[in-house]
Formats: sequence, structure tokens, C-alpha cells
Amino acid sequence: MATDGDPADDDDAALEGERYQGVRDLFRRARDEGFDEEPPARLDALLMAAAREHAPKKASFLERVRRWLVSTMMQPAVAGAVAIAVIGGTAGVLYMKGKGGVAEPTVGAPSRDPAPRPAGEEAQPYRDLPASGAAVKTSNDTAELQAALRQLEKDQREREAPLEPPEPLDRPKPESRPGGGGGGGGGGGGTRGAGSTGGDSVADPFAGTEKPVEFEPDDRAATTVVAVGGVKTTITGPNQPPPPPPDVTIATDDEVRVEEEKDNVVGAAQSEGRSTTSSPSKREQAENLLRQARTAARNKNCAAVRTMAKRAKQLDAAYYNETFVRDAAVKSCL
Amino acid sequence: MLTQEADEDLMVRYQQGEVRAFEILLGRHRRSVFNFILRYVGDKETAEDLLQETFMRVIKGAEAYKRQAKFTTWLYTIARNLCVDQTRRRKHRKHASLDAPMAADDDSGTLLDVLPSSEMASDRKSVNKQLYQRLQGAIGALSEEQREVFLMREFLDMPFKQIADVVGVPENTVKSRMRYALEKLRLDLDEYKDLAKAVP
Repeated sequence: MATDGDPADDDDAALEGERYQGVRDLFRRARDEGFDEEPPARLDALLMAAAREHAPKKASFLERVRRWLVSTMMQPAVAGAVAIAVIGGTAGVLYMKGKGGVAEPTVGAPSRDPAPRPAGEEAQPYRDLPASGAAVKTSNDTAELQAALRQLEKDQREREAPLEPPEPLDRPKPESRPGGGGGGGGGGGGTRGAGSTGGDSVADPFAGTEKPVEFEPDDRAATTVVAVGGVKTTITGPNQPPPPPPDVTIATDDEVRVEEEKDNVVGAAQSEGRSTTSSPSKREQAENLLRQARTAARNKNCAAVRTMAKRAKQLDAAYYNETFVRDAAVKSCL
Repeated sequence: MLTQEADEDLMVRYQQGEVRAFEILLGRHRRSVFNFILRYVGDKETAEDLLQETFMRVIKGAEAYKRQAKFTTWLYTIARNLCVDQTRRRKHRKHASLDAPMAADDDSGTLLDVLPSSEMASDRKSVNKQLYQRLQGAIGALSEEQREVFLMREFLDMPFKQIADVVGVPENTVKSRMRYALEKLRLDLDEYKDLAKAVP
């Protein structure tokens, strides 16, 4: 019976020795001559089919890179070196940024916005504005301009009130104007305001201070919109609740454009009566605007200057071209 | 060239999806593994099944294969374990095979040993056939432990160290088993020693 263990004398020399050489030779010769058999070829085909079926999907380039990185990073020395490089790189970048002043502490610049003004305090005209032209449309600036123009309109109205011509005899009474007919549009000749009765809300370009009245179809027409240049005022009739404060606005660029279009439409009907010279009141308005624009220009509020220039051009193009744009202070802003 | 690459490199290539690498591996080892199994179990049909199963396990286990492991050690371990399982199952069968030991005692001999030996065939083919049967009978008469060591050493040309790794015993134990196996075969095949010398 063969037993295992303690074969201290077992070594390769003993096993390969002459004692067993005959047995070895016998097997080797037998194997050479056909004792070994060839496995059937069908097994190969079966195994290859199975190998194709179960073959892992061919790794993409990225997958191979990932495997390589993983296997590389698994080595402590490489991982340590990479960690040091990353930390060092990050520290270097931060140091360089700090050197450039990015990381230095900064003290906040004082705000240019003034403290909120107490209610009722008069707005300072033509406060410094940022260079952006869009800033002219901010509420503060608009309010200031409105206040200035409101005063201008008021003065003008007071000045021209005695000169208001009597209503023409053929002017239709508001009560006798059902359905918006009558009046016709046109005519007018040289009589100021003669054409203003022809349509609703049509301002007479020859009468800068005249108030074209919008008539309501019924007797309760109590709301009147007065348009003076770019200023609109709503007047409420006696049987209406007190009106809100006059809606005086400075036309923005878009509004100016809309008004220009309106003027063009109306002007087609009224062009015959338009004289080449502007009315004195418009000239005065334009002069007023020039004065204000000059002040604004001195205060570097060019946006307001441009707005006033547009208005002045609308009011009196001749004055605008001859005087307004040639003013030294204003010119610098245009 | 793929055909010149090591087994381990080919296996890694197959892991990456190169079926051609597996084809080369199969071509390299199919014959030796088949004969190892065939001499172990002594039955050709069973050997074919076990060969297929061995390589199927290689295919299915390819993803788990580590480059550090020697491919042949892994392959022969699979083949050997399948043979051991097969032999244990066969032991439970009622009838014994002709080349199986007749008793639990390994020295009891096989059925082939007691069959009347025929006259030596005159022609070489008959002689070889008779010799092969005798050799297979002698291998089958070895104990399982001796048989696997002898087959790995002589049929797979494995070093003792690798055999020890596959079998899971110390290298000296492997050598001891080998020595007992050779001694037994020498005795069993003594009558053929002259024949072996005569065959060119």
C-alpha cells in the first residue's frame, strides 16, 4: 500500500533515475505512436461558438485608458506622487492668483446712490447720471424733467390765456355731435384751431397751447385730454370725481416716435395751412428747452440733453437747427 | 504575432474581447488536456464531455481571470477537479469498469489483470492495441492520488511544484506519490519492458 509523507529521500534524481526509466520510455513511445488521442473536431467548433458568445465586449479606448489608470493608481507610490502633484498644482495656481491681486481683500467702494431723500424734498435737477443713455428713462430723471416741463407749460399757459381766440361760430357744440360726425377734418386755413374740431384727440400743430377736446358720445363726456406737445393733461368735468394729478409725462423715444407718426398722419390734412415759420410759443418752448439743456449739459447729463433736443426739434425745427444744436454747451452732448 | 504570445497574455486578450486569442489557447492545450482526462477517467465519451466542460469553465470564468495566475495551473486545476468529481460519482455506480480497481485496496488489481491474456498479436497494430490497453489498465490500477500526479507529470509535463499547487499538497508529497506510482507501473508493466525497447 502506498503511503504519503516523509519521503525525505524523494528527489528528482531518484524519480528520474534508471530504475523507472523503462516505464517512462514505455509510455513515451506509446504516446508517440498513437496512445494519445485527438479530441473530436466538433468539440472545437462547439467551444469556439461558446467563446464567441461569451466573449467580453471589446473594450473601447476610453475603457482601456480607465483600466490603465485604475491599475496605475492602485500602486501607492504612483497615487502618492499624483496626489502631491495635484495639491502642489492647486497651491501654485492659488498663489499666482493671489499675487495678481484677485485674492487680496477689497474695500467696497462707496455707493454712488445718494441716501433716500425725504418725502417732499425737491429733486435736484440733472443729477449726475451714468453714461448709459438708457438711464434717462429712470423714474427719478423723468420726474425731474416732468417737473421742469410742468412749470414751463404752466408759464406758457398763463402767458397765452388772454390770446385764446374765441371759438368759431361753426364749431359744433359737444352736445350736437352724436356719433362723432360733423366737423369734417380739414380746412382751417389760417385760423388757429380751426382744424381741431375735425377729429378726436387731434392736436392742432399750429396751436401749441390749444387743447383739443375729446368728446364723448353722450353728455357725460366729462373727461378731456389736453395735449400740449409731449404733455398730456386730463381734465375732468364737473360731474366727475376730482381728477388725478395731471398726467404730465415726458415722451420717451418710443412715444416721440409714435407722436411723430401721428403728426405725420394729421399733418397730411393740415399741411396746407402750415407756415414755414413756427409760432412764437413754440419758439419760446424751444428756447426754454435750450436753457434747460444747457444746464443739463453743464451737469454732464447728456441723456437729458438729447431728449430735450428731440423735443425742441419737434417744436421748432428751424430754431433747433439754427440755435439749439449750435449752442456750445449743448453741442458737446449731441 | 498572437501565436507566439504567452498563455497569460492570450487570456488577457480574450478578456478584452479577442476571440482569436482563445482559439489559440484551445489549440495549444486541447490535446494534452483531453488525454489527461481520458487517462484519468478511462472513458472516451466521458473525456469528451469533461474536456468541453473544462473549456466552458475557462470561457465563463475569463472575466475573473487575473494576469498574475499561471494559465496552465488554472486550466489543469479545472480539469483535475472535474475528473475527481467524475470518479467519485462513478464509485457510486453498481457496476465496476474494467480498468477500475476491484477492491478498495489499490493493490487489488483490475478486471483486465485477471482476464485471460491473448496471444501476442503478430502484427504491430495488434501489438500496439494490446499495449495501449495494458497501459490504460495499469494507469487505472493506480490510486486516484497517484494517478493524477503521474498523469500531470508524464502527460502534461508539469513540474512538481505546479502539480503541488494544483493538487493542493506539499511538493514532497507529490514526489512521494509519483514514486509509488512509478514503482507500481514498473511492476505491472514489467513484461512489456523488452517490447518498449524493441519498438523503434
